[in-house]
Amino acid sequence: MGSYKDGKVMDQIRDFINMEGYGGYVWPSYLVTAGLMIILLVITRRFLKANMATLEALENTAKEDVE
Amino acid sequence: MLHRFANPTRFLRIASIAQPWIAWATILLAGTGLYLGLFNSPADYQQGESVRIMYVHVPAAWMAMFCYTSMAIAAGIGLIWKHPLADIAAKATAPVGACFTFLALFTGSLWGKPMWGTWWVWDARLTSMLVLLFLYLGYIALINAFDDPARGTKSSSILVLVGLINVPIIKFSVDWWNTLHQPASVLRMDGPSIDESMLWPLLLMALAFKTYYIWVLLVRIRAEIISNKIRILRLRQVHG
Repeated sequence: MGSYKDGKVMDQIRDFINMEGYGGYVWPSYLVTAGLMIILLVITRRFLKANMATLEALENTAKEDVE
Repeated sequence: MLHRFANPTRFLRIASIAQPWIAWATILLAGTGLYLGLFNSPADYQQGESVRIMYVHVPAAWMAMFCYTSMAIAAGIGLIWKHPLADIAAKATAPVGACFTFLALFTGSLWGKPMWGTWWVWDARLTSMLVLLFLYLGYIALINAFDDPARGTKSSSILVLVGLINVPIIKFSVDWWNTLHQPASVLRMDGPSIDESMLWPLLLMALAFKTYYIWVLLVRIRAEIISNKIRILRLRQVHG
């Protein structure tokens, strides 16, 4: 009985991934969209962090020069 | 009102408070939109399951045009009132807009193949979207092409304002010319023509893409303000 249910669940998952044969078009759309948006966010945050570190280093150097 | 937020120091303070809220709003909206779009909305009676591409394609295309219009407004304010934060906002919008335009073209191509039988056609809607991508890339190249940032900003702002003519061309291309692309089904004078079960996930995804844009914009503007401070400090070190 359990294996029959497991088989049904597997069929449902397979159907969901297959998307009536359009899976090869639907999933790349979602994956590339999510991937590119995450990459852009990560790059932007890294840019901010790098600038914050550079600014801090420059301000410390400026303080040392004054002292 | 605008001047209150246009002060860079005040902006940095407000941005750091708003950022986590915007981030959570993006995650929640995208999560709900994806759940409704993938699990809780029907397949289209003509397009079948391929219609689910709509939930990423349409918001990306809307944002591509929204970002360009925002960029043009910011560039115009920067040109006329010489406000540095407006120029920074325009510069910070460009990569996000270019990303959305690419996604609209890419997902559109993936939707076009099973529905139209081709990845690409040189019709008005698709070609004008490709022109939009080149306008974004041209802006990014031009603003970084000058040793003097002020000259780069001025030239690129003019380019953005000239290119603004492309936005209504994109929007009305499906009405003005014969095209394979379907006409508007949400932003219509007589109201949306799609069923509520598809409209909700679409609107939630569109809101998620908009809050994502604000999220990236806040981070990028903070980075650009710090970048300007770095440039000024380095100039001071060289000259003094």
